Amino acid sequence: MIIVLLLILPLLASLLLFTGKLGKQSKNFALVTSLVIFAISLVAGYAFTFANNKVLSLDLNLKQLLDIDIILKLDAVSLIMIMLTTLLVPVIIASTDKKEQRTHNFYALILLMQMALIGVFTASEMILFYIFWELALIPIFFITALWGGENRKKISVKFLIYTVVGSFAMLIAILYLYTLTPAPHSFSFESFYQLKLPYSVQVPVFLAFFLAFAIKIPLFPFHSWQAETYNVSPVQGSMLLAGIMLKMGLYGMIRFILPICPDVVAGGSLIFLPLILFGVIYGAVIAITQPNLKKLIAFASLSHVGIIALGLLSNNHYGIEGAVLQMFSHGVNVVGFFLCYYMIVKRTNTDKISDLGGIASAAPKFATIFLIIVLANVALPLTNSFVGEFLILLGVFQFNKLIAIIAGLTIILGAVYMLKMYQKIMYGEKSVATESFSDLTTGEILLFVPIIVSIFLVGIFPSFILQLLAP
Amino acid sequence: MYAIITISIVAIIVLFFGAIQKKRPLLPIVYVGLTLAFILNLLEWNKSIHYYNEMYIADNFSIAFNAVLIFTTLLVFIFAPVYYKPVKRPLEDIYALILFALVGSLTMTGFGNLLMLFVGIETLSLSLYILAGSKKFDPNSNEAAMKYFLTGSFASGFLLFGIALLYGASGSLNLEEIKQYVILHQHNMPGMLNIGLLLVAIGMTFKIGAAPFHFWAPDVYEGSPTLITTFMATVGKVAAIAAFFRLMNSSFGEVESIWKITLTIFAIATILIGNLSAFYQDNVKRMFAYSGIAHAGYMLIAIIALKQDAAGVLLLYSISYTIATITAFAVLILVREETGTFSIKAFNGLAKHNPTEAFAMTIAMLSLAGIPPLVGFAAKYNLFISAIEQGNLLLVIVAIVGSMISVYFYIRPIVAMYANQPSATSAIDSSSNYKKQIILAAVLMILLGLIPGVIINLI
Repeated sequence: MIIVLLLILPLLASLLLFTGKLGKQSKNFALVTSLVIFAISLVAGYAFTFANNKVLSLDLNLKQLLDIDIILKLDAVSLIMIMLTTLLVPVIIASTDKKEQRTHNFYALILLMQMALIGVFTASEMILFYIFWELALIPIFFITALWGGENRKKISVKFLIYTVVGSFAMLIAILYLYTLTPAPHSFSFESFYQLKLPYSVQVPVFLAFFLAFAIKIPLFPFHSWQAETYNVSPVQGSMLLAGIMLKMGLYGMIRFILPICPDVVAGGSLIFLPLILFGVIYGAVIAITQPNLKKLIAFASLSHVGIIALGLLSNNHYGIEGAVLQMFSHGVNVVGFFLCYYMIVKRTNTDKISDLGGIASAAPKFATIFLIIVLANVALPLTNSFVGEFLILLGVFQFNKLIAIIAGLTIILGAVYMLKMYQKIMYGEKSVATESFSDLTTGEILLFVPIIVSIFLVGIFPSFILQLLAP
Repeated sequence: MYAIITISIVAIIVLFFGAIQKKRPLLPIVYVGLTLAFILNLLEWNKSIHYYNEMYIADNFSIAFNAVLIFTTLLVFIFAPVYYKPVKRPLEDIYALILFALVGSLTMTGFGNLLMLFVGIETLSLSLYILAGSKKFDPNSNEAAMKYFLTGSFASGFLLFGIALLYGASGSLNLEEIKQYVILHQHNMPGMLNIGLLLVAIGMTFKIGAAPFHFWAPDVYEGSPTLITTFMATVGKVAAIAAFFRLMNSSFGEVESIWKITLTIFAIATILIGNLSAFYQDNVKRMFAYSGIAHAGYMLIAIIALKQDAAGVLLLYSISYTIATITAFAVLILVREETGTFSIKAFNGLAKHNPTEAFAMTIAMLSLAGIPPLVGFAAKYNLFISAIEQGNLLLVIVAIVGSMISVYFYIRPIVAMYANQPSATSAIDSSSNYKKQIILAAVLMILLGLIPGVIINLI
């Protein structure tokens, strides 16, 4: 029942917000709702640890009426993704500045997005999954198209077309697999897992799923929508995209590609792992030369999620465990990063790295927080990324030593662009833009609290998540 | 059957009131008459009555489709006062012709005899020819009527010729008797029957506006008065599809091998041509013409893949297409009133001043594109499932590719409405009645998207 609550509450709240009855209170209402949802997800986590055979499931028998079975399941991976979603959405809502004057629709769309994301992470029926998967696209499209920056129309449409093409490929694969299930046909995940497909069938199915997920994540060479969309989207939209939405693709890989096409993953990894690895290096190299802070975050994210995908597709226990952990950590870190970016842009109205400098002396509190987040992105020990990336590399190492070594080296590239960027922005001479840079207010510091806490909590004490994942 | 009689009587009463120059009672009479017909139609539910020597069959299939058709016509009439606001005369001819066209389409869904099919199609078509040209002083409207009449009568000729050949081969016009004959001779079908079937199929394909007989649709849709286009695109198309489905799956269901391949090619061509042509349109009305062609292609899939007992999926698809199209046209009529153009630019910034209309339009567009959780997705998904279960994987892949393309042109008005600067300075005012209808349609699209099973399991 608690899963239904997690879905219904954001939906109802968003519908209420759409009516516009709340006026000026919209933001507060959305924030309170999202905090309540976070509390509920904590309860769900608590219930989960005491559940039998590590899964909370719910089957609403509404086939006659709805034409689809509503099967919702909460297992360890779902739970971690839901925790990520419910933790980040309050931060994202709270981060909107009073000056920006977002209307009630903005918050309504964020909550609708949250509902769709929770749906994606809990659905245990293919069509239900697909419905939530597509539903998640609509709010973020509107957030980008309505509140985005220059060129927002063209870029949001490009983003939409890109992801819809991927989704339709996935739909074909789903429909095809459905016909292969034993009669009476069924869309439930269980019946899909029980298919033992021959290799020749696995290949096209793999390609269709991979296309959908690779576009969503995005992996090289399907990433060309990403930097533009992150750049043009309002910062809350970028946080939703990078922090939570791209995890949908990785989650899909765990749910479908690994169990349904095991032979392709085992046999074909030597073809696509190097491709992903190339994307990791590619993202890092572009990030090094990137003059625009927001695009730097986008390319850094491209590089980081590539590593997560490497861990998943190496298809062993360490790799997958590390990848799930890193999905959580990356979401937290990238949202923290975007928050720092937002703090800078709010005060200086520029996101060109060369226009910034000397902020550290003016804003010591901000400098400390930003440094923690930068170091977490670099995967320094005691921060969350370290644990995840270490496990991923361990997994990749078991699969193929050469790929693991090259992937390990990319962490150095990560340190290069991160520290170079930090040095340029925070130290050196003050520029015109940073002349009157004020330090963080208490409200702004509060925003960072959940981020910093989870960085250290996962970094120092990762076992509370890893225990969930243990077989 | 009583619905058909009621509507015919109402049409004559309307003509009478027009003759004595009374304008005010016209629309109320139509509303009451259609509501009454709607109820009378539903009263025959589950009775499966056969009228006049099997000429007309009121089974659940025809009743369900008739309900959709009557309801759609009612919606068209609700939009009529806004569309015809500047016109002072009573307009009894237009109203009566729409009602006669409806009578024709109701006959088509329940025919039990090929002659009845022909009579229905001709009643519908003849009324539509006149309606297309009902803007007497507009050259575009005249052009539309002329084009529609010439090509349409040609297609009727094909249809009639085909019916004659079918009669020549089987010795009967009755659907059931033709079926018996076909089952008896399914291994040595006479050539006359094959050719007759092909000619009938060509005639029907023309009427639903599917490729390769779709060329009339864009010009006719664009030139006709918008309200008539709405009626044509919804009632005309759905009635023809229902008739086509009934014909193919009741009489020739046993010998589907001879017509399946042809229709599959037609469907693939229709989906691709419709969607690709719509891609390039800047005129929204013309875009809807091509979108209508594409949807005719999807509905052809239903004819190919569904069995008689699974007609619920076609019903759901018809409903989803009808509601979305009618909502979109309703908003288009408003926008055109204000800006005087059908170009996509007319939608710029509509959301600022008219959020209700923009919202409904968005829902309609997303539903037509097949984005979950709207009814358009539920309809497409069930259709594709049925097709894929029958082994038409290729057809489904083409259909899904077509849907991908369609997302682009359906999203364009949405982007224009929300992201562009408004061109109009003030809100377009529409009556609250009009607004209520639009909202009702939008709610229906969301609701049916959530509970499509209600419709699918109906028949």
